[in-house]
Amino acid sequence: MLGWNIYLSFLGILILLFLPRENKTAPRWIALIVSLLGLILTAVICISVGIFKHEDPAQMVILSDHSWIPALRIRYTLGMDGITLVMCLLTGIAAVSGVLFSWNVTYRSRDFFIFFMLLIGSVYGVFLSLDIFLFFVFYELVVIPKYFLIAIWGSTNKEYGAMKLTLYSFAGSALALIAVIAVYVQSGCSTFNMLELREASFSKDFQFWAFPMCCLGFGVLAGLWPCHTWAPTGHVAAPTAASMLLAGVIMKLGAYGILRIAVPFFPEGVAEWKLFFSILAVIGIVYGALVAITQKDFKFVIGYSSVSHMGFVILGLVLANEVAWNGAVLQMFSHGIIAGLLFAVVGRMVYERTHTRDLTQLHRMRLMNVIPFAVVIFILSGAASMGMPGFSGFWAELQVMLGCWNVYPLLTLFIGLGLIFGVVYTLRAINLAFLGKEKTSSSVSLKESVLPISLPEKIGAVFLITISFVVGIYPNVLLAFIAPAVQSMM
Amino acid sequence: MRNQFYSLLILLVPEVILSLVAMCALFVGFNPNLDKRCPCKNFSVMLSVIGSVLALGSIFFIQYILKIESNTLIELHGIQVNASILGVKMGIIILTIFSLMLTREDPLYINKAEYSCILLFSTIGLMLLVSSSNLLVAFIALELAALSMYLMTSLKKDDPVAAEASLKYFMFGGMSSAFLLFGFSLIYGMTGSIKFSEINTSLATQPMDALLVIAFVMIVVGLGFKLTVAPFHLWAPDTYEGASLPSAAFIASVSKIACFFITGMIFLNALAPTSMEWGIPSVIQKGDEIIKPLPGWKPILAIVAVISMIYGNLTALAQKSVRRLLAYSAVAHAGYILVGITAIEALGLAPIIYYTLFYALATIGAFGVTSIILNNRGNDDIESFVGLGQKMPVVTLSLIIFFLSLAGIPPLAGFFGKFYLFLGALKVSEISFPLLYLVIIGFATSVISLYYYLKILKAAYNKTSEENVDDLFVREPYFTTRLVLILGAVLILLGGCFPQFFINLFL
Repeated sequence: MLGWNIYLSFLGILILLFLPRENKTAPRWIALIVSLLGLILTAVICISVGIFKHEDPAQMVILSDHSWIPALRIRYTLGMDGITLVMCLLTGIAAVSGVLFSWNVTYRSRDFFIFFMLLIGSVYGVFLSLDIFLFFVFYELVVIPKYFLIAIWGSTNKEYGAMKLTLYSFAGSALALIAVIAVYVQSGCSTFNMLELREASFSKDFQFWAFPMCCLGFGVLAGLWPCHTWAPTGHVAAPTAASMLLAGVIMKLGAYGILRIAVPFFPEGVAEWKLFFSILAVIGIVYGALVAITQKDFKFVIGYSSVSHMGFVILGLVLANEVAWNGAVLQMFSHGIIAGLLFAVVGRMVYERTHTRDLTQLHRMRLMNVIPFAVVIFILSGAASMGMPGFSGFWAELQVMLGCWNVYPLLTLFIGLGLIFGVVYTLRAINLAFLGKEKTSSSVSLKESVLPISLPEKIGAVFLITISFVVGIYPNVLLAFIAPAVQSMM
Repeated sequence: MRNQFYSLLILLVPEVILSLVAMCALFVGFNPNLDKRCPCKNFSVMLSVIGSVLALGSIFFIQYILKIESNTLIELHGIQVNASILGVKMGIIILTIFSLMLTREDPLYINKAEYSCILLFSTIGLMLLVSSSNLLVAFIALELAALSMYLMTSLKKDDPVAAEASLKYFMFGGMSSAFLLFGFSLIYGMTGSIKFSEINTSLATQPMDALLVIAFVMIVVGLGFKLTVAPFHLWAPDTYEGASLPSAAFIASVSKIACFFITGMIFLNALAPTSMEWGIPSVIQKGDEIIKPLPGWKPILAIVAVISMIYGNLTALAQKSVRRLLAYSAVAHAGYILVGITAIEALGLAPIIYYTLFYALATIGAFGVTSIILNNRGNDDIESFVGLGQKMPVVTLSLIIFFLSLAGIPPLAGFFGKFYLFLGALKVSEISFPLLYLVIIGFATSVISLYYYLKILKAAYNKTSEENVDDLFVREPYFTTRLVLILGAVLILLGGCFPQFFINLFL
């Protein structure tokens, strides 16, 4: 059933293609309905698995399996386990809130939502595919809509940001693809099925060079330091919905590749390279937070904070122990929600009303009086992003740190440093952007000229912060799916 | 004897039909009244299209009469036919029809009859080239095709740019033919045969020596020219730009299919069993064990492939004119295909055929869109594509499909083609991956290629800043051009989604 998520999105594209170009309102309704249907479908399956125990989340359930290219034994195989379910849930949430926050897109809105749905459909495809070739088909299909969304609808240096992001992710996927073809050739079992390839054993020499290639290739999209530089520029250039998806789900695709392919295929390679990649990830955590402190552009702060948070995911994954993996997967979900919300506040609520993201300029506006709703939401999501207990990020980062403490206690100290910097940049951003002093009387006129926060924005923001809160209070909602699946993969 | 000639005739039915049609087209050209009296304006082009469709049908006829299945090979008087050869011939004819249909977009060409006649002769040469089974037939067929293509380049008689392009093409081409002939003659001298199969058996027992290396280098130089492989590509940008657009489309696509196929054929069937180790025959018997070292021509092809991939992609970055860009991207793609030819023993000809066919299809489509731009804007700079998406959404959609397929984005045919080629390269040896560096360079340079393809697509998709697009695009494309673009885009999409169907056709 979960496979319908992919087909629904592509069906949505087909419907949109036949709409007249001038129609401004129908595309967003269609996109909303389609993404809502996907979310409901995923939620229903989650309930049936979680409450009624129809499936075991530890088992990989084959959803569909057809012969595709017999010459190379490539099959169209979709499957799901607990981790997939959580990722699909995240995609559904990001899609729905993405549509809600782009409710005001009127410039070529049909094309906008076509690219949007293409992105969503391919992301579902990546999470669901069990055949590696199929995985890469969807993985690289993501590249193109992303490019157009940013290059056409973006802001600030959009062509540079879009091109940089596209080339980085294409290069990363090419690197991983080479490693994967080598895996296919060397395994000798001539199959592209992930589950079967996981059983195959590879020589130590092969693992020694194939693992870093694969990990680095996927790591590019996950924002692994020092290949992260596409992320801040891309996020800043992207329109709100695209940067929500970019931080929310697309960065997770790289992490998902590490989780499903790089680490399980090369256990000995992981053992050799663990320290190296852990150090890179920790550098990412600390460096991202440090750079975020010095930013002048509001969106760059969030962009670098994404790099910092994705460092936790990569760290958890390369540590390859159970606690760390639980934390990493939970962090993927939690960061997807929180980063989406932060970008929504900055890109949609603040930037589109004030037309500036410069923190010093925002400081003079004292937005607290102008758009109090946005301020409240930003403070809540900033707290969640800091790792405040009570929000989802806390449990995720805690588990990753626990997993790290067992292996590299010294590195954990540096992570703690990163967390402190995290508090610093969040508070600095809140202070500068919202709690400034009125320097001129512009605030009065601003309050009159600014549109009030619209209903779709309110719904989307409350929706996201509620999810983060629920998971923060009772993380077992998700861990009930994640933990068994992680346990069976170890 | 009589019976043999009859069989030969059957093998060559498509070529025979095409020659007859070419003569008829020429005849129409001699009688201008005939062309005027006919209700259809492009009588000779129509005639050629109909003839090509007949030839296409006759291929199915051959398949039916001779009961050709995947492993039958019929060889007669230097002509051979099997399933994959027939598949490639089909591809050649379909793309010839496509380039004939693009003819109307070129307002400058003078004599349609001449043009279609020469184009058909060139097609015949390419088809003979594909089915040749000895070096001499291959050389003669290649010359027939090449001479026709030199003529096609110079058809714009009063245009100095075309004259320069044609002269350049002819000079380089003549030189490369000499190299090729020299290489062939050395092979003949060493093996005493011009037949692929006999060369194969004779070379298997010969040790590697200097003369053989010279022969390889000469053959690579000679064929490399036709394949636009760097550093023998210098004619391509000028020819692509100087020739009239349909001729350039033909030269860039149809001739590539046949030349890559025959290159693969020669290296796989004739030259494969040579050893890389100096002075050691290719098959070494150690007790019961038979050791086969890698063939000696691999390093030569690998060097040329690396140069082409890097040089082609980097130079394409700097181009403004889309036709010149396509020429340099042709160099890059030739590099990718040479990676496949270097690894030809792993998966055979199938990846090469698949890749070249869809590469040619995408190229012809790209030239088709370029011709629309050229007719409307007077140049083919990347900036001139701005506004296309507003005015002609379907054309732009097909343009996106063509260029993304060239860049290798799934689910288009270019992605699977590249994947298939590079899979073969890694399959050469499953333990040590001797060609891994070629694959890495291939993927790395295809990232570069995405940059310049996206730049064009971005321009085409963008809206113009000017108020009225209708002023920019006055001339609507002809129906035939639209048909070519839509058919091409659909085929590429299908080729990427259902590659097995197309692989079955060629194997």
